[in-house]
Amino acid sequence: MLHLLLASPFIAALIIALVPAKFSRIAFPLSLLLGSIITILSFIVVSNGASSNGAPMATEPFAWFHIPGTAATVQYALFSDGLSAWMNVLASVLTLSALWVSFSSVRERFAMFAISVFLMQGALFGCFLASDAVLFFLFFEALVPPAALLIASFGGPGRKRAAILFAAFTLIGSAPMAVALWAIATWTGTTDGTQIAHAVASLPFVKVSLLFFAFALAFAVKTPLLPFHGWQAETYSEAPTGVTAILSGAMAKVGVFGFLRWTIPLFPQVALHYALPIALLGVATMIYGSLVALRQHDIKRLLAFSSLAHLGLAVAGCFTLYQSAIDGVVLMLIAHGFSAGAMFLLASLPERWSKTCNISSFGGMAGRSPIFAVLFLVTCIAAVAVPPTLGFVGEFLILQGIWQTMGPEIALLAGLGAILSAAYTLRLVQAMLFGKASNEHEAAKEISIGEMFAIVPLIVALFVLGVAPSAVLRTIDPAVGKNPTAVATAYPEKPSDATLR
Amino acid sequence: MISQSNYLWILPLLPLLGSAILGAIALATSHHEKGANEHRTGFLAVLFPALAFILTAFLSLQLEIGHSLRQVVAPWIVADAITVNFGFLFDDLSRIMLLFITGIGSLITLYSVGYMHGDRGFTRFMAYLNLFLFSMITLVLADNLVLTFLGWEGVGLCSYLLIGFWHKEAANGAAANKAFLVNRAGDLGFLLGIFALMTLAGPAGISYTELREWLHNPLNAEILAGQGQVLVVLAAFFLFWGCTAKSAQIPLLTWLPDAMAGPTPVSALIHAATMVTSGVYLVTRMSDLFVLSPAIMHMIAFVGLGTAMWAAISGLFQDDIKKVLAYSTVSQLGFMFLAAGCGAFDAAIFHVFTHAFFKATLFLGAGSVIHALAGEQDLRKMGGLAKTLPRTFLILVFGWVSIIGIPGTAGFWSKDLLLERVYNAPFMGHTLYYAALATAVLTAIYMTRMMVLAFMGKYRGDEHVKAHAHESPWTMQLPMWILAIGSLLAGFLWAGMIPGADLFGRTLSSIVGDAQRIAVGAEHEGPSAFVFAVLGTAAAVIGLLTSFIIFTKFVPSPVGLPAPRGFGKVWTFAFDSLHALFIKPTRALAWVLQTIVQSLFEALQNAIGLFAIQTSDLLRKLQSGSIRLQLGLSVGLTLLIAVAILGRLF
Repeated sequence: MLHLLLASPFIAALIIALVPAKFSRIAFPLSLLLGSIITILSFIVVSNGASSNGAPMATEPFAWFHIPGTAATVQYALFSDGLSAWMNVLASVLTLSALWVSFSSVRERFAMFAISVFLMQGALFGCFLASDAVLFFLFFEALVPPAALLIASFGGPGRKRAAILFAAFTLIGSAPMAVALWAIATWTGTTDGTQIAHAVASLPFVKVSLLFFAFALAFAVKTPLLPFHGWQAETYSEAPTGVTAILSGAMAKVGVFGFLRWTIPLFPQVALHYALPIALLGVATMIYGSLVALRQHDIKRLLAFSSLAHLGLAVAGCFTLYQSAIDGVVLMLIAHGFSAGAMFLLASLPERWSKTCNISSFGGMAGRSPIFAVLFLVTCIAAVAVPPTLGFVGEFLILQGIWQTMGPEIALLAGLGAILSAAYTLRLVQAMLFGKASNEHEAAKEISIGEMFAIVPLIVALFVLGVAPSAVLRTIDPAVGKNPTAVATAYPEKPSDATLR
Repeated sequence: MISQSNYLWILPLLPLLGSAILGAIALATSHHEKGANEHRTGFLAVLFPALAFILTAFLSLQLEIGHSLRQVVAPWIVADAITVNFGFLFDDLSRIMLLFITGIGSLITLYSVGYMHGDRGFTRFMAYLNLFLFSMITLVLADNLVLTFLGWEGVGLCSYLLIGFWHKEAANGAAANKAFLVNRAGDLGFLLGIFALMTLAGPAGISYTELREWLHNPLNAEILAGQGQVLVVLAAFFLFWGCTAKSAQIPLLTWLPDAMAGPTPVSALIHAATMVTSGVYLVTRMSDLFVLSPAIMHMIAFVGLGTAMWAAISGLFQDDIKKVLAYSTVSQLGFMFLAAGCGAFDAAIFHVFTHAFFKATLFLGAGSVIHALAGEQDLRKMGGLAKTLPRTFLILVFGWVSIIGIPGTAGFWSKDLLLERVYNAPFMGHTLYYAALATAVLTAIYMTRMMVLAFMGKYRGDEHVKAHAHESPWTMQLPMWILAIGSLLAGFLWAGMIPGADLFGRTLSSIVGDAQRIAVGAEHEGPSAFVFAVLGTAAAVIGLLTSFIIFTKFVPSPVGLPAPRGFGKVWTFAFDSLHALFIKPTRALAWVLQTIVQSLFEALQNAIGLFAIQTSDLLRKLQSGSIRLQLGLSVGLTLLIAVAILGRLF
């Protein structure tokens, strides 16, 4: 099942690539069909986890190649628990929606667009499923080329620069991780995710710390965290908006996923030692992102800084090392994936209608495009985490964890971020939807039925999962699983409080 | 006595269903020239709140005093040690709240059908009102703090949507944003309060009944006296912080006068009768916690008194009829918190109850005046309307005698009881009482001023407008009459001086009895109730006469905006300047971060970008470079370099 899921986007890309140019018109329906099949596959994996109360799925390891100069053999082995499964759902749903909504802006070159998007999706699946550290790293790096290609060929006026910036940042950021992997292979003779934690435990603290920070840097750039966020605003605003939805909704999650799946479980002692400063960095990122978002005049840049703020809080939640807060992080990742995805996709519509992203050139859309306005408003409400949306449940658990582990002062500080997020979001709503309609775009446009089909499910998911977060929590929390110890020993999924203290 | 019920979930569901249906109709007709049929949508809009009221009344009649119903519908958040349920609790406090919320809610929805007639957003408005009632019912019916918080943010959201209902005016949007943000600031306090309780009592900290048991459990006395003391104070402080925003108390009160930008039925329902009183509800609901921290109780009393006085003085300067009533609401809420802070939680809730009647009457009456005068809200352009609008005048008189406390009216009984309890409070009771009595005089002055300016003397506005002035349709008249009669008679549910007329107090004693005994201590003999009644009446009459003498002679001339002028402006909006102390540094910080720090980052990345472009250009000359190849090369190169460096090191 997992093999099929991982292979499916690559197969889809191949199928689209094999469509002769003569039949280019079928590329769009075909890609929607393939995207839907992949989405269904990802849901099957989730429902598998739900029916087995969170017991993970794994494949038989298959020795792939030997790392020269070390005793380590890289294995092709896949692993999926609730976290992986939900991240895959996020990636597949957003890919499908992005393909759907982007068609009107891409048109002729759609086949190439779809191929790259599917390749990116495949790399995302690989990241979320890999159980060998080197395998993970290869997929992690494989994310960059298709994304850069999409930005460089379909982006805005500054697309080339943005693509290079994006590639440079992420590749430089992950270079130390490559070194760390090599060092792990040399020192311990294994790169298997289930064994590294035990193997490095005997190493001196300084060495483990170096490894920890090499991993952390790669994920801090990807997420991003302050001060590694330089690529983000420019990339998000230059990339075609459909791609930005995937970048911010799914790819940025690889960063936080990396912290949860790799950095913390592999080096729990170091994580515990540096938990407070990194969590504070997360909170600082949140405040910084929110404040800068207050001053943005471009929708996509505003949303980029909003993403920065949300994921900053998610990282802070990871480093509380507190079980319920980490559950909250997973919920928040899903919530932000859907809400940011829906926001970017919605933002792409007025962008297409009036060829601008400048907030001040919109206005009065509530009167002119009422259905679009309602969807936009509801998405904004979900984005500022009003209960009972999923974002609220995530934020509630994270803030509670921050209060428990770091005290009221830090919780208060992180809570200020919630006020600021309302401030910049309402400013956006006010400028886009309310007030007098500006004269710049005379003909009122409205969202089409097809676009609604692509976007509304994302919004509905935010409410449905917010009312019933147990659909997610049941699959990720080993504490509610049938056999928690089996999960813990099979794979260092999350540090439990007991092992850390 | 708690018994299980299987029907409580229907209560919030009814208006939610109404909201969903109306919302769907509004969306489906959003591109039509005209909106949906007002008769049908109006019927639907009133139907669901009315059904909720009937169900509430039915349950209340079935249930004896002191008994409660509980239903846990489903788990909501289950993570590690945290369990939050969708659970409902129908006890003596929530039944009182629900009766007047659904009752007055239905009446005001009916009134809106007349008031909003012909507005293009008619159906949308009704959908918002139903959504509001859903949130409000959830707020008071929830059996735990987190679900109450859902309602708490929900009512804030609906308030935002309804204040900015006429969204083409940018000023309305600004008022709506302000309301949402100030309330968000309060919501943070609420959340932190929940966290403090979760730390204090563990899983029991969230549920009302469990927390109550936990606080009264002798086994926990040691924790409460020792390390738990700080957490009790923190929890009480943060929860009250939440209340100051929702109930417009110092310092988070400036949003409420601005909120008058919304349609008048909204002001009556949300910003007078129901939502703004949820702070008093929360303090009463958590009374067992609050009484454990005398310092916070004193703070509540002083904040309440300060707000009551400040808003009463501000009310004197207002020329906009809705602003007068808005400041009056803030002031009356102050009275309620004063009572709660003095440990008289039941008197506070009784005042919430009577206030809901007379303030809704006043707002709806004012709405009727505004409706008749084609949108005119400026008191200086009114005058002599008693003859033009005799029924509206009579309705407003009912509300007016009630709020200033003429004996026998609802406002008289509740304010009298409240002041007596304040006088008998152990901490500075006498001082607080005299200050509150002085505020009652001010109340009579500004309310009489409003009545005199609107209905006495000569008409000062545009004759053209007066010629078209008319009484409202029955949909507006009927709710006004019911509420007006309520503001005369509702007080007899707890008329202190009439033996046996204490149904209200008996009902609440199961909820707040223990807490009040802790707060007030042993009963002691004060002056007789008669003395308080005489003093209270004297305050009303003195204020009334003073105001009548002054404002029949000195009528402000209708020049300029109806906002307060000169010193009055500074005085009434002083708290906006206080908020600016927070907002300006935030803006400044945002500016610094954006223009300086972010620019630095961008300069840095430009340098990197330039470097990367140069390198890639070089590479392109070497290779027939597609981007993919470049990237592949750079990955390979980084790996190689890294391996080489590490090989040297180790």
